[in-house]
Amino acid sequence: MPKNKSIKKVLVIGSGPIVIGQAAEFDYAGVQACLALKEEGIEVVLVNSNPATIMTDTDVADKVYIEPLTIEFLERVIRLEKPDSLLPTLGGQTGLNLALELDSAGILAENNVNLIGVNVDSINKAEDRELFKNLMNELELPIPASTIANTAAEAHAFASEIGFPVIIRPAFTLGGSGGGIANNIEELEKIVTHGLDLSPVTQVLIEQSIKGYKEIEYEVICDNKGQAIVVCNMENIDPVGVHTGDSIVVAPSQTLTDREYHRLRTVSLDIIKALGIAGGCNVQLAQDPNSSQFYIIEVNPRVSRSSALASKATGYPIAKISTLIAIGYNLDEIKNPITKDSSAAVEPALDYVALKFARLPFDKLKTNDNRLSTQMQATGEILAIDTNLEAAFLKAIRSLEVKNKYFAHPKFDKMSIHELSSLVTRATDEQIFQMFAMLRQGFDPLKLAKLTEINKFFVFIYKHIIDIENNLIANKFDIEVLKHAKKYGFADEDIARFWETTEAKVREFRQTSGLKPVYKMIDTCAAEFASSTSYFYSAYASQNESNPESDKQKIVVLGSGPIRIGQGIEFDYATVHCIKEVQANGYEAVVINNNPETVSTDFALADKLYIAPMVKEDVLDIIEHEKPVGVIVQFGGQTAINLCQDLTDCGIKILGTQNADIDRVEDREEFEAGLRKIEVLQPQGKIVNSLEEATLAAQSLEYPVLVRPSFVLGGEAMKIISGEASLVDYFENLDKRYFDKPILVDKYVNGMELEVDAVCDGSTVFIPGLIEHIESSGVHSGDSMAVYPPQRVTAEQAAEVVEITEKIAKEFKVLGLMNIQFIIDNGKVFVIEVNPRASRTVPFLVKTTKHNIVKLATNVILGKKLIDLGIDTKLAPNQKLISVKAPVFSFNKIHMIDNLLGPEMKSTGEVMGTDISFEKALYKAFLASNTVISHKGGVLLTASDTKKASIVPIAKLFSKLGFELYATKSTASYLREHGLKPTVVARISDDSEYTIKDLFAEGKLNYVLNVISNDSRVLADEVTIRNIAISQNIPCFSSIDTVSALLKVLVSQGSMINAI
Amino acid sequence: MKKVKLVLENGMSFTADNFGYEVSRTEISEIIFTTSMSGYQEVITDPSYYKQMVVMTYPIVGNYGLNATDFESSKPYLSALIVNEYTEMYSHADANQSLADYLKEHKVPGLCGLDTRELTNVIRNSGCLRAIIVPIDTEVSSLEADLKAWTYTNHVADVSTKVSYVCPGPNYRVALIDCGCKKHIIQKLSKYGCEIIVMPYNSTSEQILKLDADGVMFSNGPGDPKDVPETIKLFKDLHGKLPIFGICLGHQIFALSMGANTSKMKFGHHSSNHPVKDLDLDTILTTTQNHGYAVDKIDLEAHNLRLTHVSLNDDSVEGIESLDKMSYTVQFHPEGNQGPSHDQLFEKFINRMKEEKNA
Ligand SMILES: Nc1ncnc2c1ncn2[C@@H]1O[C@H](COP(=O)(O)OP(=O)(O)O)[C@@H](O)[C@H]1O
Ligand SMILES: Nc1ncnc2c1ncn2[C@@H]1O[C@H](COP(=O)(O)OP(=O)(O)O)[C@@H](O)[C@H]1O
Ligand SMILES: [Mg+2]
Ligand SMILES: [Mg+2]
Repeated sequence: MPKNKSIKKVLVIGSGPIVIGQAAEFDYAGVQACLALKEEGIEVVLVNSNPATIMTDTDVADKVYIEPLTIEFLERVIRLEKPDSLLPTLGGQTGLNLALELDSAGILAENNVNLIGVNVDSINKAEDRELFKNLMNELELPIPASTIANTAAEAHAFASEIGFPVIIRPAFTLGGSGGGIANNIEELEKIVTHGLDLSPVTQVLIEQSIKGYKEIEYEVICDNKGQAIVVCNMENIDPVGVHTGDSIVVAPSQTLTDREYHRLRTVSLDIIKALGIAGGCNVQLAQDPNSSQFYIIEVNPRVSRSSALASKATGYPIAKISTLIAIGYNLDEIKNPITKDSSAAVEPALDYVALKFARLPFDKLKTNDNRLSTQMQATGEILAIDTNLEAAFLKAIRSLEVKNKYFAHPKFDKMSIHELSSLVTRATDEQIFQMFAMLRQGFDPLKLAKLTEINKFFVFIYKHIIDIENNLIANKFDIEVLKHAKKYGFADEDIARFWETTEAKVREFRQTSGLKPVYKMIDTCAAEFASSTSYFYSAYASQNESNPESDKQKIVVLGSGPIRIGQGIEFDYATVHCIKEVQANGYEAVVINNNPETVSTDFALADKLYIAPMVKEDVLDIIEHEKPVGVIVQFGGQTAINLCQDLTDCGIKILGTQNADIDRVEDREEFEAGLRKIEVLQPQGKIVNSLEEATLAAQSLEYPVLVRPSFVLGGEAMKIISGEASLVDYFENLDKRYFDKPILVDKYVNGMELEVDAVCDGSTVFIPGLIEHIESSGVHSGDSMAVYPPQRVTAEQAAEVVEITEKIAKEFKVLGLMNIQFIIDNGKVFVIEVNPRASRTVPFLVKTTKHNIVKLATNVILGKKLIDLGIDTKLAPNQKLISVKAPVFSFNKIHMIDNLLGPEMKSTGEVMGTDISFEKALYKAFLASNTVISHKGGVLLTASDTKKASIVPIAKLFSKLGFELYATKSTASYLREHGLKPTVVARISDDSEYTIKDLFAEGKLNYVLNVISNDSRVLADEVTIRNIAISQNIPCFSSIDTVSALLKVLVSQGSMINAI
Repeated sequence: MKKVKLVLENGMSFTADNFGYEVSRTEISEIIFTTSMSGYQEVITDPSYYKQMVVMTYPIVGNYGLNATDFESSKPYLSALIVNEYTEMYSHADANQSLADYLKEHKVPGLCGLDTRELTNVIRNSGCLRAIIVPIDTEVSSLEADLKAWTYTNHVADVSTKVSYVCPGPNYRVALIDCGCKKHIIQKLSKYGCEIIVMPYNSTSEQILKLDADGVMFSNGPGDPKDVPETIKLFKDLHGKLPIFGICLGHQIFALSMGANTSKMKFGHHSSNHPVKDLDLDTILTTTQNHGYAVDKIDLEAHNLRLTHVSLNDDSVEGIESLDKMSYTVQFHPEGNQGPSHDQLFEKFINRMKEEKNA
């Protein structure tokens, strides 16, 4: 059957904001889908609430709506646009759920919209536990035994029947939060009680545990005729029990025999055929390492995170092929876009290994529990490719952008085997370092495999790395030993450490010995067919396949590595636009990046793509191979900026702002001096090295002060300190590693925060618009709500901001993009930070102001002047529509994390709401960020002493709108003194019959306000309250300004009534 | 591990480590590559690889050791196994031996530590080549003439069973003509309850007919089908007398017996991911393939043959059936192991035998 002729206009739903478990992979999938549809002459309508995506660019879809992803808004889009079809399988779980809701609400039928790529029946069969169970029984496929329990006793009975351990998953909590694995009755009691608390229907699912099995995934694709293939299979190195999103994963599987591989393959194909899915699908299975027993874990009837990984690992574009299938094509009618010659029905064959490491957020989201479990916690991931696993592992750790770039960890390497043995049994983000520490001390790999339940095959790989390490230590500057080490992935930097020399010396020795990597092609077919894809990885082997010859000049664009809190999808957005513009200027764009989830690593985008660690050696090797005219670093976030120094030192030409100038911005003293010179205000600050110095500094600056370690990102370990006691506290609790570098103490300036992104061409600047924060300074810019155009900034202030921006651009010789953060306090404009690069706010500005500043900046970097690009103003006039950006958090995914907002960034993504008035835009932003807006109900108020006064006006307004006020004892009496009548409610820890917990259980709360100063001691009680609120999706605020904004929305919607 | 040199007939040579059996100089044989990512145990014991050096394009081999059940025959047939990276520290509950130990025990060299993708590119570009493994210091030029001159035509005779034997079963009796049969073909037939009488490749039709079999299976095997005129004649004599099913070499023999032609392919099909279109069912099958010759597509009808399966990659013939439906054969391996299996082709055979019996 050729293309289905009745499909003319398709609605595609995006996945919304980036949250843990749903990240950039859906932008990658969505973009592929939209482009494939357009290529077929189909009109595409796209809805997504996330502005920081390529899919929401107007050249990707014909009509783009950045609106909240709710059925109300989708229905509006459907009525307006009248699409004939809806493609729901590319927007993650969000897109799929919305499609189901639209269907069951009858909206699709009413508007004659067909679901394509999947039908409701198959989604239900895959997603509904009961139906799935039935289907598996029908197919005679094994799944773990399970039951639903409403009480601890029921859970207990089931557990004693099937035996421990068991898995507990609370029903209907967001993202399955509150689940876990219980090994005994005590743990069961604890998890079940907590789970029942969190579950709005007081229900948990208890399941037989198959922890310790091999976890295997198959990415399958099926067409309209039921013809199905496996694109890729993957083995999780962490066994079942650790979410696949957090596991180290290798493609293809390493420890399955052919018989096992094909048994699971057949099962996966049988399932997709039985489900009747036309498109991509992910099947997770568990294989007993000691018998032929296997289980089906789950099926995701849609394109998933794993399919993005599988696409990048194999070169097979799953989302694109799925889309073609959805519009009626079958596998035998589609050519493999990589080889252009073989059929899309060929299952890819790999001749390398592809390794995924998860990027976990524990460096930013402080929790005392970094265990990996059945709930995904990673924010991003990296891909490392080589022809042996050792090299893939070593590339992976270099790519991950964590403290250690090698499998050595000062803390664990100092510990005894005894200490390590007890730690290593728990799967954490640190486990692999513990394993290496033990092997380094001679611990038996077989015993280690037993302790960790990690297959000994992989432990032997680690052991081999240690062997090579020892060999290097014993044989300094031995070329044969070096050759061997390079083949297995050791970096010059690591070798330099073992040889007690410098990286430069090792590099020189290596290069004079003629030892350099070659680049191998990823072609989906293991060289069986000739292919000309420009998708490469490095290997120390004999034949190079990446021909550096070209008729065009080349420019290397550095990507931004794994997504983590503070450096998200926004940088991929900027990178992609830079690549396109470099190409539009007649250059060949060469991209280096390692994030498999992104659009920038789509091998169809750049002229050449290298998957490589973003560190000096790997990047430099590629640059030396390609010989570009220059390298663009300013769109790849801090990752790329950090490479600037090294590249400059090696004589590589940086295009855009030069390293010396970047340095002057990032070096605090030079920066201060620069600002002083151009007479720009900055909050006063001091650099200190001890508590004593800090105390003196704070006294002279006057409290409150802002304290933070130097050389950190995303406001790491940053706190607002209001008095000496807190300062002592801060120093006592600060992680020791921060004391290597000075500590910064700044005057805390309380005011309105503004942000500017500007393009500078060396003589003029262009600012597309100012962004005003809704929360006052003190909430990290990434976590605050913000509005464009500004609502409170006067014309004089705006002019001053423009003037300062110009001055800074000139003083620091900025060429390209720059981001400046300002605080306006009492009419005075302070600069708090300058980032000489693209920033988080760039996509928001591009979408709201319609000025593509990445495009402009790229042209400027390539030598054009703003005036020649049609820019003749410094500050673009404001748009009529008002847009509000709201942060989105993933607190429900991390065990007992404290969600208080402060100067340390915690959000994972953002949404945008646009409308004709500020209130309406705010409303959409709240909705889009999944804030449940209630016009009646109960509000729980708690405030620390210094903040009590600030909540009074808010409490009054809530009361005036008819809300029931609840407050803890001291807050309540304070409110009473101010004429309010809150109901006093006992704290959870109080010995009382009725506490806050009961309020939650009875569903009496619609909003929770927990306003405490940034440096007050965290009370366990408050953390629990916030956690319950989050798990039940009850809006929970810690900033007065956010609540005020919410109240604005309520009032604007007519919530307030007045008697005459 | 000892360093050795792999020399190709085009004069190229590769230095490698030998993790298998140490031999100072191997016999000359053909070098081919397979893109299967697993199943090295099946590959090394598949008689179809007789007199071939096999390059595995998947780079890490040996991971799960060798077990007692996944052999295709009682010994390895290939002349050398060539991999990028060999894993000695294997890991699998069923494993009882390492790949290296097995190769050593059966005197087969195993090469590793060379750029197998480069080697694969060479084979793909120049077609399958003759090759030899020699000591590291051997002059390449001294080997060229020998390499270019080498031919071999006795493959099937070398690997076929010399005497007939029986694998008992309750249902249909199948005469299996062993041209180098994979054990999994026999196992598959057994699974359907067949009694299997395995016969040498050069049996006569009288000998076969005397068995009173319900059907005949012509197996896979190594080499050029034109090297076994006796087996071609056997097929011709049996065709029409009882249901016949053929696989791989058996398929090529069938075509020749009907008067169609076969040709040598550039580098053959060796993998477990080849899509084949089943023209009768109008569906795609992902198949395992291992052949260096193919049936020519021209004039099949003129020889009373009908195309049933075709390769989606290169449009080559993957399955045929006689117009009288008495015999049908496929080029790929429907028995699975290694690779996917396609039981419907065996079921068809069983049904054909049933029909004939009832008729
Ligand atoms: N019965 C079980 N016993 C032990 N671990 C399990 C079990 N079921 C699932 N898991 C683990 O939990 C993880 C998440 O479960 P899954 O059903 O895949 O949910 P999700 O939709 O979050 O991916 C899996 O990757 C697996 O490691
Ligand atoms: N001197 C200051 N006074 C008040 N708030 C400040 C001050 N410095 C920083 N902040 C707040 O802390 C947040 C993070 O600080 P910033 O310097 O921008 O760090 P980062 O490098 O993480 O972006 C800012 O967004 C702002 O809200
Ligand atoms: Mg899962
Ligand atoms: Mg900042």
